[in-house]
Amino acid sequence: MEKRKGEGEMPDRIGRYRLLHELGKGGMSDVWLAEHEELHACFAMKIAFGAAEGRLRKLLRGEAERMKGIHDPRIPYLADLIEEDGLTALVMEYVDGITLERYIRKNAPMDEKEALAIMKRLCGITAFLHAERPQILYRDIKPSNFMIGEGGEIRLLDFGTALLERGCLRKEEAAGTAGYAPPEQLRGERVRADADVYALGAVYSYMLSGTDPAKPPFRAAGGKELGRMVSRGAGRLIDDCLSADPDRRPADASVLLERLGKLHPERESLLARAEGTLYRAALWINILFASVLVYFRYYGHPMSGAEKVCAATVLAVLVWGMIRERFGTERAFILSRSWNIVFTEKEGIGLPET
Amino acid sequence: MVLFYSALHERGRREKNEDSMALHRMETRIGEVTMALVCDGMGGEQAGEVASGYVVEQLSIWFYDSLPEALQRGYSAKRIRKSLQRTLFRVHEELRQYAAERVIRCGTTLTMLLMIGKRYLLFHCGDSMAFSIRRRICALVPRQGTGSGVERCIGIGRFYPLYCRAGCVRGREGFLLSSDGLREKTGTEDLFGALCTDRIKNREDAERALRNLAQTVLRRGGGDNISALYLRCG
Repeated sequence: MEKRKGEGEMPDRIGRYRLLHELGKGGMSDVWLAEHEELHACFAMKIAFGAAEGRLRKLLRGEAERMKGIHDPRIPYLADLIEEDGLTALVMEYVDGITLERYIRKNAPMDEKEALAIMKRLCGITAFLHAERPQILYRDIKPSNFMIGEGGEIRLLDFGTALLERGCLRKEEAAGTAGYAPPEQLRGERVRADADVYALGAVYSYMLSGTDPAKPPFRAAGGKELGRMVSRGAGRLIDDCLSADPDRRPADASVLLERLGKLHPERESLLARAEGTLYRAALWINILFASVLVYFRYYGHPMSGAEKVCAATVLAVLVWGMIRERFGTERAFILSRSWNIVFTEKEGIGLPET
Repeated sequence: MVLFYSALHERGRREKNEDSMALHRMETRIGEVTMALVCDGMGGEQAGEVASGYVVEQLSIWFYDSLPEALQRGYSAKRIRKSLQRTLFRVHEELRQYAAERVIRCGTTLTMLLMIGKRYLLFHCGDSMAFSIRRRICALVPRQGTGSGVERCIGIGRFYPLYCRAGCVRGREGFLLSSDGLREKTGTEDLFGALCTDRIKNREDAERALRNLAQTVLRRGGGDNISALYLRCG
């Protein structure tokens, strides 16, 4: 194992793999692009130093354990597990492309149709994990863990926090990302598949609103805040997914996928548009009629019974419009958020423990 | 209405930046609401960035969660101030407890500008600075008394009510919030010279001006972290 000059303790090669460059840094490990010396194929290598005798080794072995049983083209396969000289490395298929996080930042707020199409694919991957036996709970669904390949295919990376459910979970350590993880997960309580559904709801909200849940106040925009930006069906579904009560959420990703299939944003917007046009037409006809009535009244014509009915209709339409505006669509106080910018060197959320 | 902003967050000659700052804006049913704040994590104190970062984090949550409640029944400076004081008192006590458990001292100053429609409220505690820049430059907060150390801050000692100032935003007015690092080696003439309204037409101009000011401070031997937020209203 040769040391790489100028890069601290990072070796030049690990096993039969030559390290090319760093792809990213994780909480417990670094991810490098590595090339197999004989096959000349590129792999992503997740490396943890000092892992030979500690918690990190256990975590990486656990991740390898979970990944070896997963066979799906939407999830990178595990190629190797290396343990040598105080380091542990997971060798996985390398996925080239951009993260969903970058894609959303560039395109949000997205058109509802496009967001729905992406959501269906994310739910498809998560539903596959939830359908595995034992069930796999991913526990850290967020846009930066999804990679969009060059051909547009979406793949799920990083199984560092995933859990294999074997009947009943013990009390687990708090894991996940604030804003995407449900409250019970951040408290370190037992989680079920609906915790992943909560995170998927937060991703859907992010795509539609452009408001990143991982920034203060660490809360995804709900249906009320999204208001008229989205169809009522989507707003209701997001509210259900983001409910603090786990029993109100769709039970797992397959149920969510089913509900997404029932959303038809273009049909809903057509209906809403027709309703609006009808209302506006009725309003203008009534205003016209009221003007005629006022004109006749001005020239001393007494009001007949029919005229009184018409005047009452004018009033009714106006009152209906006002009520519809005030109560028909429930609007949140905050209509949109922007410039959510924080500069600090403090790490994590809250006061650090050490 | 805030047209554009520019931010500077420099370590200066220090190893880490103990300052933290934030800028948030939301569109509400009563109009645009903007919050800008700069916290100086007390040079020399251990875990200064923890204190300033924590205050910024908690006030960001306050902005989205508690401020809308205070504004539901319309603008009221008294209600906003009360809500903010309550949050800051809780944060102050949390920081004190955190420091006591670890036998350290961690505190921060705070200068915060809150714009609600055409009105603004400025809250202040410590030795950071806030200026209004239009045809002339005007300090919005009282100068810290002479002597070393900060008399009042969040997280250390007794909790003092914040200094509060209310006003109306005028056309083409610029606001500068900065930590004391920027003022260390510059005077108000330097600040006005760099940021006077006629010179700053867009965000790039403001960024360039702040960078130049930071370089001036470093050239003159300033050693503190330098943090500044400039906002231009229309």
